[in-house]
Amino acid sequence: MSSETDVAVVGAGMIDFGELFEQSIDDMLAAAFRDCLDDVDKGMSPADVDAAWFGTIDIADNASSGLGLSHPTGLFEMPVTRVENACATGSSAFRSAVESVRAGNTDVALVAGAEKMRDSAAGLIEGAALDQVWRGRGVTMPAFFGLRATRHMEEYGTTREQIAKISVKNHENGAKYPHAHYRFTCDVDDVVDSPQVTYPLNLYDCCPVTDGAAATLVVSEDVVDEFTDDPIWVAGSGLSVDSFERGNDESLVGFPATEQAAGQAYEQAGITADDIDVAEVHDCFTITELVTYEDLGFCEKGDGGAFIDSGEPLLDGETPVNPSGGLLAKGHPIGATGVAQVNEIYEQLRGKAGAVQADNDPEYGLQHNIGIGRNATGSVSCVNILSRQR
Amino acid sequence: MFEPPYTRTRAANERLRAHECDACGWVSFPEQPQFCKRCGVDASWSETRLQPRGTVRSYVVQQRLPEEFETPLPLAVMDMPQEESGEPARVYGLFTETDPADIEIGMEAEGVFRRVFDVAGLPIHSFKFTRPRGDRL
Amino acid sequence: MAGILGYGAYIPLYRIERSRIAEQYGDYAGDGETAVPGHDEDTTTMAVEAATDALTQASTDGDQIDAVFAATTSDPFVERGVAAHVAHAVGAGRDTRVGDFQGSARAGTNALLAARDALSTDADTVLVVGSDALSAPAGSAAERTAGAGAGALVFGEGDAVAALTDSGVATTGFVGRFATHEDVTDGDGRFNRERYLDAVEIAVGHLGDDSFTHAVFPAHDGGWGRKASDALGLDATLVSTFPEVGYTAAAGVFLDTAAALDTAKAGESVLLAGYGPGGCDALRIERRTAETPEMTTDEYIQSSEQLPYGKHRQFRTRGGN
Repeated sequence: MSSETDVAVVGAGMIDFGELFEQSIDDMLAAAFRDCLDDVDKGMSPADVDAAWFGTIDIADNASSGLGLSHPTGLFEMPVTRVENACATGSSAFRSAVESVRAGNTDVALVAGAEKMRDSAAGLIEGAALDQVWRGRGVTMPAFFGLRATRHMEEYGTTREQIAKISVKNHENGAKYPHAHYRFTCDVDDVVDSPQVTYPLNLYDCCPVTDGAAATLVVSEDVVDEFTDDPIWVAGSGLSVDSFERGNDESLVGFPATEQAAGQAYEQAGITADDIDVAEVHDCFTITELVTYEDLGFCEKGDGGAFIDSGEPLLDGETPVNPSGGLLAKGHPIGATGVAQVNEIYEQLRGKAGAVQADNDPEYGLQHNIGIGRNATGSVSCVNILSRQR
Repeated sequence: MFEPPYTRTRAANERLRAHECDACGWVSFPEQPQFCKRCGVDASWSETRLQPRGTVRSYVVQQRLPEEFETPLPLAVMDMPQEESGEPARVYGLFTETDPADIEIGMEAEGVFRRVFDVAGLPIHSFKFTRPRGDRL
Repeated sequence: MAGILGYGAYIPLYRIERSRIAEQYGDYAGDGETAVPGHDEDTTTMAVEAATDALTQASTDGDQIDAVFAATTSDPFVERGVAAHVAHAVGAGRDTRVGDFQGSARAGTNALLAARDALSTDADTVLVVGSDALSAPAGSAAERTAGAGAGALVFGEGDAVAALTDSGVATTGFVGRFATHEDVTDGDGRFNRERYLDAVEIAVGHLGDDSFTHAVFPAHDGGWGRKASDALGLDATLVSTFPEVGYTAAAGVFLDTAAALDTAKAGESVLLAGYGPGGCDALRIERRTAETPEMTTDEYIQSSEQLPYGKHRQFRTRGGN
């Protein structure tokens, strides 16, 4: 890894996530792009952008290829790459941009993610793979993650209440976070008594169906001074794929892909899990966050329940997880999610996260996505680590 | 059956035809692969058959699904044994005619031949899982 | 003589009481239950389940099968068939001959006789299945007894559990009760019963030996069997799945036969009278051993769950037919 360029984040922007019937994907992307340009300390104009990466799974069928980003932003006559990696789309788009800057091929990269989840009535509850017989027929997203919950409770004695506490924590944070789709608070009973979606998960264990867009500006060390005196650096990145079909029993209670991606990112950053001060992880469902504590190495395998009980991942705890309220409160506009998480870590490390600022003076922040793919037979995880120090 | 993808998969769907990697023993079902998902080798494969039964490794109970499904629908990750010796295949299993209260991790479920869905009006048949009929006497 | 290496039955899990159906319409119905196919069952799936049981008892692999004959009156397709699909599912090879026997409940015995004929020419092993999921309009009298189920027999050489030893035929051309995909027409009950008894007597009259320990008379009217037995002067145990399963047309030929074989001891004999539009076939089946398949017909009957009326209608229309 010699002759590599250091990569900095210099701008972050997003729109308020929600059920945005009046906004098209173009409207959302334009607004997020503008918000991001305005966020750059010393200012940036579209003419400064050299290349762009566009993360979307295009669930609403209207944004194919990089042109889906060029169209609303006016970014033509440059490389624009569309990235899709299931729920890890946003973070993969970010990683791809970072790699290009790190290799010296791009000085200023725009990363944008967007999704129109509410342009159809189906949402995430829709049955997956209706035309497949053995590859995931009927395996919706709550089912895919719920399978880990059933097994985790059986194998480790994790309780329903421990799982529910994650929703309580994230909704408490989300209530303070201006961009969240839902800003209500709830207690454990509210979660457990909410309508059952997929045993053992109830409604409040699930993220809502949400529209949104977010954008990030990433630049090389060679030009960073033009844009800010307070950059946040990309310390490490990891990406991995795995499948439960390969027979690893660990993939029944967690996601080896997360463990692998995190391992790559920690190694590149030269740190361990203990060095992470704040994290934005992929709580599409409560159980996902719980097993992610283990997969990221924040606690031992099987101790996810004890970890949430300990209070460590609370906003005022030792390692705040999902200070923004996570996907549970913000929602999960798939292409935008990872980008918005990167943005939140950026704000946290700059001390600009407002009402949800972690008060432990964070040095290292971690962003994590885990997604399902190939008709629910596999998972893909992307982890990015930012740091205050170069 | 009738359409190319379903004609290709009919032997797997109806006869539980599977393939075992000669390099590492991993069993692929329903696909007939070339590169092994587990060991990565461009392997030679031995054709095998799965038994119509499986052990539940984890499960959920779907309450909300498109109309064509009967809910509540138990859905599991199952290990299906081969007819001959060797490793089981790890697959998703859809349950039918089974009360969610009767499912538990570790249970042995019976595979039953059922209509899974229709394509252009023609039925696609394969196996679903159920609490063994003999247990209901 | 055609050896039977194995046999099997299949009855869906679900039942509905006939009185429950009748009371939906302010009507009265007597005792009895009727089998209802699950939403994901059809004539093919039930046939495959029964065939699998029979092949297991016969210790016969799919690739040993030379011919598959399938009998049904409730194939929802005008052109698609059942036999070739049963053949594929049980692993029969590409050189397997098939026959789809339809158009009458008597198709059940037609298929059995065709199997015997095939064995006497070039086939060594023949699988015969009967499968039905009867439909009837909501509120009709036929709805109460429109049942579902399947049965199968494997004919071949080797260790037989039973044998088809004799047959008699009466092709009268008479049509009493008949049906289309949409509706059932019962006709004049007493007149039809008289014609039924005529046909049965003629067919049985052709049999060399008319003494039996067991007799099955699958029919849409559960009382016809007793009338036929009396008319023939039989001293045999009547076996019928009608009270618990309902009328299963061509499948009933196989279900009732399986139920009789389940209780017959080695050396005992079963009279099977297969009747439907067109006439009657009378078959003599002799038990060679007392071996029964893994699940007996009675075990399929006893393992059941009740359905409410609405669910039963939903399953009927989404399922078999």
